[in-house]
Amino acid sequence: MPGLGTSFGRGGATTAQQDLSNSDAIIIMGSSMAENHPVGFQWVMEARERGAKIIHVDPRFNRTSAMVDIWVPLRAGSDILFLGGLINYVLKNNKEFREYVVHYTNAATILRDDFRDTEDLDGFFSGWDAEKAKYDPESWLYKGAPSKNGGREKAGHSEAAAGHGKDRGGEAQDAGKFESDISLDHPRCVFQVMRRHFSRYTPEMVERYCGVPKEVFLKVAETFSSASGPEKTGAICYAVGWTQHSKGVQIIRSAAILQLLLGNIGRPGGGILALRGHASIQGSTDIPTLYDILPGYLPMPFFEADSHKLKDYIKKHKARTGSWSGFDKYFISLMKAYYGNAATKENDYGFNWLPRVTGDHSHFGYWLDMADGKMEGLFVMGQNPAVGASNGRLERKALANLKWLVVRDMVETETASFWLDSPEVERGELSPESIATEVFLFPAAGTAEKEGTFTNTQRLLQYREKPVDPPGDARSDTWFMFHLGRRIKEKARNDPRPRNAGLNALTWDYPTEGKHAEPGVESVLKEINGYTVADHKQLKHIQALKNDGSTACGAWIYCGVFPEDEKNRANERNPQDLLGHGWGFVWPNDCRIIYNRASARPDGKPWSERKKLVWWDEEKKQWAGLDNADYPKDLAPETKDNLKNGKGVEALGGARPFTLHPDGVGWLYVASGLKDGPLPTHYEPLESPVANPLYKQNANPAALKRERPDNPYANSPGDPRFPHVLSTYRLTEHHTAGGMTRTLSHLAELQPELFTEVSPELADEIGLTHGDWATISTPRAIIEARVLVTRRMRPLWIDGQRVHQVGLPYHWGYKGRVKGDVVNDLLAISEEPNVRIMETKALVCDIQPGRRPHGRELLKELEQKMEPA
Amino acid sequence: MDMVADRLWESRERTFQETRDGESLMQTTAIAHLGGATLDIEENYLIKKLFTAGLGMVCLSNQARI
Repeated sequence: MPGLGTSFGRGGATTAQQDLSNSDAIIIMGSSMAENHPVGFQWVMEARERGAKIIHVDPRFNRTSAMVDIWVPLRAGSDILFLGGLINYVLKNNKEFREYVVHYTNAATILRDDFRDTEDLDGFFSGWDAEKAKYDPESWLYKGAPSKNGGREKAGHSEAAAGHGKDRGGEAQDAGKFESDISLDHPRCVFQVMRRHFSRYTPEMVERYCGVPKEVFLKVAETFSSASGPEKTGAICYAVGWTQHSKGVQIIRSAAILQLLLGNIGRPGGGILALRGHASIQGSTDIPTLYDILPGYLPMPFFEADSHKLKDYIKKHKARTGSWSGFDKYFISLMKAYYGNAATKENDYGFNWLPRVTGDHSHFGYWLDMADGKMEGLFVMGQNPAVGASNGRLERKALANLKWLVVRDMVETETASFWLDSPEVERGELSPESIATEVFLFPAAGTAEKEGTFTNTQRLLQYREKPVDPPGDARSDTWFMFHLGRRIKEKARNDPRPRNAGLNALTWDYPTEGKHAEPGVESVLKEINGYTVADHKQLKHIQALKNDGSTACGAWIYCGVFPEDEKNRANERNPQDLLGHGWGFVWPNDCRIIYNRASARPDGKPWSERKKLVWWDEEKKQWAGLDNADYPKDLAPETKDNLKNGKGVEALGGARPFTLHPDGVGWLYVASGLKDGPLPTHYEPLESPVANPLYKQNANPAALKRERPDNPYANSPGDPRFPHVLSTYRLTEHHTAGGMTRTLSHLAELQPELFTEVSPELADEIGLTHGDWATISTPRAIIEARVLVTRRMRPLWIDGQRVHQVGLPYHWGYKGRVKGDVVNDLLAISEEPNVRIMETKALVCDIQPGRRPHGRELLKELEQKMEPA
Repeated sequence: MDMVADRLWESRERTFQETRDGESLMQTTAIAHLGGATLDIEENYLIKKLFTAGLGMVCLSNQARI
């Protein structure tokens, strides 16, 4: 999310999948779209039939590669080198869409004199504090912007923070004050700084370290950079093949830079599609079950000097110009939705009933605490970390340290049965007799057994009615939460201690229906949409939100989804056009392509007839077109900006399309909000066969390795014990950790067994036989899989040495109709600095013919494996 | 359900911290939640509302750390 969020303002895909059919070129990278998003992939095929060139960059030839014009195998983990190469190509050959870049990006903005680039400091930006292992981003600011120093944590840079919050973009900074040079010649303007930053990302470098031949790279560069300008656009699609790296956010930033340079954001056929890996990945960050944000990307208050009082917290996060100038309205309306009448101006609307964040409370942050015996209880709902999470051995063993564990799922997952049949029990590391954890397994209703809304990959909210009742005792999670909340609130009812003030105030009066007293799901969605407090009227638009406690709204970005009592727009099923207006509701304000002000020239006219989307209607004096304008409706294009002194979105004037940013433009350079730098930089994965060719600094210095005896790493670069590159992936037939698919006979039959994909060259080199067994090991685990020898995998020449890549799908576990070793046991727990995701797509391994040992023998073998070579 | 409510309440009672250095903390870090990307937005909304805004649980996480 922060990759897109800092670049454009919102952490969501910028366009709709249908719109891919308007593209002139599409790069799919970090995704096997045909395999994992087969429904959306039809629009890629539609584009191809209309003449678009489709490029797939992936270490592995897969179902996507089979359907494209150019497949480019590259070394897993070298993505920024490749994308930086494309950026450098654009800049060197003057391929940028100049007018778009000058007006709609921060290319012209001049940076401070004390900013130093990774080119100057051998892999570090200025501000690196080696002792704290983190950056002070002060020197990254725009020249002329007020200092952010003052002894307090900068928005987005708090020690405890992850990057999901609004503060991801450092929006609270006054970026409305800056100097610029629209000739783009000033040596310290973003454009020139970027040009120097990427100057060594040459085709030769790409060939030598990505393993992509120069002529193939140049073909991609020419093809994609030609999908630019008034008449043409190109799109980029990615998935977790980009996010799950120790520098995942910066990979996405690289794509954002490329698309801004080519003028491909906010225009039909352009954009960046973040293809999400679950039905509601987008929804579960918009309405988060994450530690660092509240609904609508409002940051959780951290335990910091400037977050003890509401007025300081608002001051810290409210921007003067742009949409975040409404921060107080969004936040106070949320407090009113949470705490109802008890939230008053006098008690800061219940601000101090909210808990404070004091550290890394993300999955790995608290799981390591669990491993160290510091946790008591855990709820797991619709996730299966015993199979799905990194370093499964550590994850499963940690569960045995809990007093109690609640698992809600459609089947008994490996997480629920860790105490009985996990590999740790077989190896004697855990035994059912000695585990004191009390495990509660609740049957959960499936998607088709409950009402509710998903927010899919293109910000589309779709409400489902319930086709059938869940069987037996199975219930929805809405039911579970509602009735658990009822019980807990009852316990606190007559208990006046401060800790219960918020709990007692919490509005929890959802109507129920049916014999199981199922709470009305639409009543929850209505609260999310928002209403007036005095007369309980549904709010129609974000602009109706107030900062005086007179409106309540559970998620400001979703305001408008339920604008009238009987009007659930997420449940609308009457599509009118290609973009799907009339089918569901897209946030914000049903804009299907966001930042679409950029589809028109600064003067408000479309860049071209072919690529028109939203334009200024001179007669009606408002924005009109094929989509709802992502812009104040009647803000005329010629309106002058008043960035220095103005307030609100209006201060941006009529031609600054990225309204969440205080300067209203797309950010090629992110002055504040990313913990690992204002520009993407190539770093090697935490475990890599080769040294970083560009800088002395090998891996992302801000990434957290969480190295400890139960989470060990290979040496990097070039550990002879683990010579090959390993990447994990998914298959169409199974869903992630497999709880929903390995249990179904027809899907289990289609993909019955764990396999590893290897090239014929690697098979020859070490004696692997197709269909036979192989043992794959990393410092964390040893697993076995069937061997699939295939030309889909290719060895690559990297800096004169042959590097093999090994592929493993990760769907299997120790339960279900088909079983197999847990691939994610091989992964380390590591944290990308901005979002705290692990690195799954590029690590190192060994692979040998034959089966692995069992029981204690396996642990012995792992120990031997780790002895220095 | 009653047993889970009891466990949750007891763990919260044991581990809750109302203040730190005289400032409001209102937090427990000993009870956690995992999951959400497979759930509906209404379900996620109630999870965050009850667990965090009601009970002071800060350890919430899901698959969407992206």
